[in-house]
Amino acid sequence: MRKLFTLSLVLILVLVSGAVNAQEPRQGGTLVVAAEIMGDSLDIGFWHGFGGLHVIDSIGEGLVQADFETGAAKPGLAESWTISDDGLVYTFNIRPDMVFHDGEPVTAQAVVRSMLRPVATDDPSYIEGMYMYFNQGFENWESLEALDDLTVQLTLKQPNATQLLVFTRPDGYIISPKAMDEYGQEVGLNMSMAGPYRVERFVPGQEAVLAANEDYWAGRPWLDQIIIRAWPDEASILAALEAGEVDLTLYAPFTSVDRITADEGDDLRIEVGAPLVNLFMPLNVTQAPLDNVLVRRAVNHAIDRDAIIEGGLSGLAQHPASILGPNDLGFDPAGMETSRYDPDLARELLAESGLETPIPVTVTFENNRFWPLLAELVAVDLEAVGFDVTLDRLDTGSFLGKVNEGLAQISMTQRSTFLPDPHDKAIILNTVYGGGQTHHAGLEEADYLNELVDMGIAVVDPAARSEVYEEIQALALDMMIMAYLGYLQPPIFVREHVQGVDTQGTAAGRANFRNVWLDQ
Amino acid sequence: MATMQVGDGADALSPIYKSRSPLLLRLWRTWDIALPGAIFFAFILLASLLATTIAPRDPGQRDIKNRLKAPSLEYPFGTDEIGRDVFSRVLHGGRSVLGTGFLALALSFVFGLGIGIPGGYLGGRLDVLLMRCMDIMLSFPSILLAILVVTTLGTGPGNLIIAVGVAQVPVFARLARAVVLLLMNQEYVVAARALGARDPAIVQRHILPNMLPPVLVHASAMLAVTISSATALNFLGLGVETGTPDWGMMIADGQSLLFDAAHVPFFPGLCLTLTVLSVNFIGDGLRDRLDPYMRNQSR
Amino acid sequence: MLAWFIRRLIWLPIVLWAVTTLTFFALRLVPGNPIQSISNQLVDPVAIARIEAQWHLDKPIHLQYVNFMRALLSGDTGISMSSGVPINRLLFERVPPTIELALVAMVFSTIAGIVIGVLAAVTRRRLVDNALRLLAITGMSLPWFWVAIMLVIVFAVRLRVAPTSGRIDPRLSYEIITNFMLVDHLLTGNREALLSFLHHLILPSLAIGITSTGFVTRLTRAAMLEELHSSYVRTARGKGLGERSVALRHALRNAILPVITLQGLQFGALLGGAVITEAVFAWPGLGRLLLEGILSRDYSVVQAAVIVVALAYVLMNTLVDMLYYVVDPRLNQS
Repeated sequence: MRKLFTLSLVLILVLVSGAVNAQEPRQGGTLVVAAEIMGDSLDIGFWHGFGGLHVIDSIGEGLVQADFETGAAKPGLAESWTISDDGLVYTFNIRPDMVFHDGEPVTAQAVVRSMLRPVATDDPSYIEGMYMYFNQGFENWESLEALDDLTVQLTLKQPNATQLLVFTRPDGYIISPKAMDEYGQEVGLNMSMAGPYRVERFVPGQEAVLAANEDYWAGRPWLDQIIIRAWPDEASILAALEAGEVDLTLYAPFTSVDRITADEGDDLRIEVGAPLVNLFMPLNVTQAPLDNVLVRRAVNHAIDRDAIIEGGLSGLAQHPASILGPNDLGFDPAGMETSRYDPDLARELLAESGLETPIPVTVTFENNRFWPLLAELVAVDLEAVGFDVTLDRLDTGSFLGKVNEGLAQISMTQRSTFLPDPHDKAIILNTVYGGGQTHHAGLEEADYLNELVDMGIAVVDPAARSEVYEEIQALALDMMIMAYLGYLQPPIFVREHVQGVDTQGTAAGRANFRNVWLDQ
Repeated sequence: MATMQVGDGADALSPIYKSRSPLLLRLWRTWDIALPGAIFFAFILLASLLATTIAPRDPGQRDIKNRLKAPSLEYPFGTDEIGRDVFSRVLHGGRSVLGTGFLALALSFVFGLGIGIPGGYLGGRLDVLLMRCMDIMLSFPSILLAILVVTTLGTGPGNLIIAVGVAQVPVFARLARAVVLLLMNQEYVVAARALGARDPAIVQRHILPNMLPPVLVHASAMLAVTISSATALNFLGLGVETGTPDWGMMIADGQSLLFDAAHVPFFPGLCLTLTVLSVNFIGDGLRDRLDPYMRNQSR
Repeated sequence: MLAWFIRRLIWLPIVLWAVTTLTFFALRLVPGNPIQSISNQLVDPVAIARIEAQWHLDKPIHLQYVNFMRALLSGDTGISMSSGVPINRLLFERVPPTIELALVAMVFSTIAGIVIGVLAAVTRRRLVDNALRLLAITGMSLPWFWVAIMLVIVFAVRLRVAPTSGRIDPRLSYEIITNFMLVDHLLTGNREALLSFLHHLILPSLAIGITSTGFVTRLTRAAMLEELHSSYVRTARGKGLGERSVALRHALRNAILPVITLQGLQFGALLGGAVITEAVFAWPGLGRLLLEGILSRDYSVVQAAVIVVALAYVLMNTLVDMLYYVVDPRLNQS
């Protein structure tokens, strides 16, 4: 009897594990991905549009990869690396026996040539104006050299705590030297790198067909093929999804999330992304009435973030605390209290400011995605406490022009965790780098905030960095230079058979299809 | 028979029957599809003019708790993403659309005639120059023109009128020129010129009165175009201020709701289509009446 | 005739110059510039200054204009500011799909419009005539940006008889030579790719064609009726020719002139790209290139696209006028 029991237990275990085995990834199939804009080139010095970014992230790889969950660097083309104690010398050991998609071996020399492409004016592939490379921080590089065929050494002038993760940006990916020679300035139309997929066909601005790279160092990916196509119209992305022509997209309208989640019968599912995108409203302190901190605080307390998250984002966002997100090093949740919804307090603050209500104020935003809806919701809240809101809806180019020139009062924008390091978001608090996203240069605390932001990467020790970022968040809230709206958790629309979606990087626009497989 | 001024379709009918036919039927025989077009258009016009009185709710009144409600007795056309009453917005949205359409049409009409008549009448170098200027205007991207107007003058109905109207000036200029060229060969114009009448007098007495019917008929078709272009610009987000009820903006903002709350874009879309349809009905009916060839043969 | 044609062509460069110049200043008058459009990714002011200098954006506007005209006159269209791709390559990618779509939509609407228009004109049954007229006017009245998505929902999502979007099934293997897919797939004998391409072409060309069909129908009907009552058709009828052959032989020949005018001008306008249709159907045309160029303030792309649009427009106009000149010598007096 006991034997029988044991036997059946074993049988059950086998069955259960069998069931688990059925969830083992399978090889094969084509994944069709819809993005809004493709961009006309895959050149990593020029890439633009999330479609192009998805392609580059699928075909390329740098020395290291990013782990968006932990914020750590993982081995990429370099299987290991060391950093000197003073934080100035990085030594990378390149994996042996790797090849680019065109068969060219991945060597230390190839890595160095590719990484120095933006400054190698005599390289055949050099193009004036490769703006994306400027994010690599090479003005801080003392030297970059190949010590032997498989060792690359980078020497910095000053320590930079975020340098390693900067290599995980698409502009840090390594291009085949053969492709650079063969195609010269048109290398972006004939990209050959060393990532898990290779380009089979690229139609500029329209679509890319990718095939599994059989020689990828971590083994061939599950999918045979990925098709990434630009669908500029949100409604037609949804139509294509409903017609079963698209397997995965980040760009369908938020308003369909509730129905797709509720409808069990359809072939669609929503995977909720990690809260890696910070939606916020820069408050321009150089413009009246926002030059008055009481008015700025009133704005902050007037916003009913619950209503905005529910009504404007289908519940797909978390309450915000600061410029940093919950996954970031040094994140301090204390800001949630500072930004609590309290319309009475907002009215009191406005009364205290001595300004005559209704106070006219303009909210500037882009005429795409959820922005118009969020703007109207914000207007409801602001008008409820004594503002008179003008909604200034602009095309993308005009919006960026207006905010960059500091002409907007309240604008609406976002900052995603493009790479999992707090500096990537905090940098806009430095008035030198703020661009269109911050306008507080006139405040007396601004210089100190700039210093703090710089210190965030000059200090290498994580514990010390964490303290710096806590101070940055507190100071920015105190200055009240931006009102945070929410940590967006982008819905990833997938068809039921799509498995293994990375909800971390994908949420930040860094879609990573290397573990995706199709259950069919 | 001639007294009735109806088409030859009525010729076969006895005079007695004709006199007995109801007014509506007689009007229909005279004006054809222009009649239902005009009736419906008058209805839309009236509804838009009286929007403030008819609309059950303030079109801007947001009510988040009642967002995306399906059409019901309380909300005949349902509610939109932030709980505004779609019915009230559709009523108010007609004003913006019709106003923009008419004024843009008037603008392009006046400037088009102002360019086309001297071009066609005087001919020669001036004509060539004016027509090439029209080519330049037509080749200039209308989206850039709209962005230019909106960003330099700000969003608002007035600027939308400029953006749409300016884009249509060349169409009227070309039309006016073509009609003037035809009229120039008419005996009375040739005679007037031979008798030494001064140019402004000829234009005023002979050209303008005779060119107006065909140009006006064409203008009715152009109203459909200006309404559509204004809506299209709103559709691209380059038109009126956000929050202002406007059919184009409502369709554009509601397009992404087609699978989830189709009533939001459907009703403004329907009203827009019906409005343009009624204007085209009027134009088509008028054309058959005013065009002499058509009048002679109409059955 | 030749002299007239040459006189028209002399104006071509002048018109092109004027349009490019207007565009040049319009682009710099609206807020936003190419650097600001990329600066959400690029925040280093030193780098921004470097790129500004490289595109001469730091110079006064009149010098920028001189630089621009000099490059243009030397035939150097340059590279896209946002993607680094040579402009010529972008035009190769975008112009053929635009021409294809415009051409198919025009052929479709011309044939459908003429057939319906003739039917409406020659039918003795008033009901049929009115029904066809109603159809034509409805076609004209549908807002085109609304038609596109409706076609997608009905035919691609609900009935699934056509793909929602795109130019060809990307899974197929095919070769690009001229980038006119009709030509390429016929040249390479790739039947599968050709069928897929045609399948993808149906809905977008319908979306554009429906409106034009309405216009053509109305015009054909009116012109036919006019011609049917003109004296020489009556003469022909008097000679005892059959009604049907009279209608088709005499009237149609003359009725077709205004149709060609309308369609020629419409074709010229469509070559400028149908922005919304291209967006809804993810069609890689010139309209999208222009729109995306304008939105990202990619000056070089916008300038190039505008030149192509103006060229197409003026050439089509000249062709239509020339056709008139050839067909109808009466107009030559003016």
